[in-house]
Amino acid sequence: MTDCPDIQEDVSLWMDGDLDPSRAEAVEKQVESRAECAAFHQDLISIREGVKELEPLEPPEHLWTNLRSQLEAEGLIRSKPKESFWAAILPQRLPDLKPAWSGAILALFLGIGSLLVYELTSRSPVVPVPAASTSGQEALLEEVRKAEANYLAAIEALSASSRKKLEGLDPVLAQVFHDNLATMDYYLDECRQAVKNSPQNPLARRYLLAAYQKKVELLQTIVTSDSLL
Amino acid sequence: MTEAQAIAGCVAGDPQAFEVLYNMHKRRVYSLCLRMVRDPAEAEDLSQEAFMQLFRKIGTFRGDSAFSTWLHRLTVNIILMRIRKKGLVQVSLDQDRDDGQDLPPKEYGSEDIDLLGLVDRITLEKAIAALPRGYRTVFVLHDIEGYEHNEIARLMGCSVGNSKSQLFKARLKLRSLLVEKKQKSKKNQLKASP
Repeated sequence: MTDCPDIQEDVSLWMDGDLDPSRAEAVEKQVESRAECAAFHQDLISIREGVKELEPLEPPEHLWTNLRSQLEAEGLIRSKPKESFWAAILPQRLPDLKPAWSGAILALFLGIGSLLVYELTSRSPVVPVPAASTSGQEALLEEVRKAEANYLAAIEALSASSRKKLEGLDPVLAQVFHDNLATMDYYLDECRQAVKNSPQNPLARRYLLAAYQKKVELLQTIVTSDSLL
Repeated sequence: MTEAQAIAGCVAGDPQAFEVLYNMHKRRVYSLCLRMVRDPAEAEDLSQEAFMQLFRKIGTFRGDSAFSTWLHRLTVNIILMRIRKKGLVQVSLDQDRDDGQDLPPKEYGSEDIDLLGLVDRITLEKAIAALPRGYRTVFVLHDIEGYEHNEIARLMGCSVGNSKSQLFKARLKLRSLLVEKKQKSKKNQLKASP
């Protein structure tokens, strides 16, 4: 049995509708009357049908990672507009944090909430607050200032290496840390303001120092972030 | 997020929009690249280049054609430019090479060569990958991607007749590769049976 060599190219063109009508009719007759031409035609149909069944191929995962890095490097991806503080600490953010950090920030959040409530009630003229002696108050504030200075020194010492670390981290993880640092800074500002407004309030002082402590711990976590991965 | 929303998001620089758009089209772009160049590393590189060009130019997309068509044409251009740059076209498209080196013999004797039922996806992918580059380019563009011969001719700088001729040779070569594969598996089956 031959392989229909004389009209093979015409069969291919005929399948695509690329033959003029008279030639197409002649080829069709040949295909109908010659078994080898019919078989050749059937083979081409099988290939064409097989090609239609081919599925798109899945690219490797790292292709998107590489692409995203290049998009960032070229500045095509812009950082999101800064969210409000409340949007930043809403519960949907918490699952991004490490469980220990979620707990710490939540505890701090609840503590500061209590402090603010305490401040409001303590300002009420109905309940007079016994004033601490001026010298005692000064001594307490001096203690706070000393502790604050120590924490600030620790924060400064850790800041440079944490910044460097964040640059080398996975962008998603780095963003989580950036968000947490922003949250901590917000708490610190609130606590500083509370201490300034009510220096005699022990709760305000305690939460200010706790906020500093948490920020130092967070910076230490960033610096040693390799162990988290 | 719809495609239109993702496009608008990309123009605004929204990272999520880029990812959405990438996920919508990554398979088609990567498949086209891999089938055209065969080498996975080069296919990745080309896919990345295609998406980067897309994202750089996305602000100019006016919606006159389907977005996927726009991306597709851009990808084909990048692949063909790479092939030209590297001088990888092994089969000239300006001249028919009828020396028969890449073509199967025109007669196969008396064996039934009906391929019906044989053409599974993996075998077919391998056979397409084994085609000479010039044949493969035209075959992928026409039979897989649905390009017309006049478009292929314009893209590749050859005549329409040449594109048709290359396609015919690609199909013939593909058929011979599949027949060869069928014959090998038949032999293996005979060897395996007691």
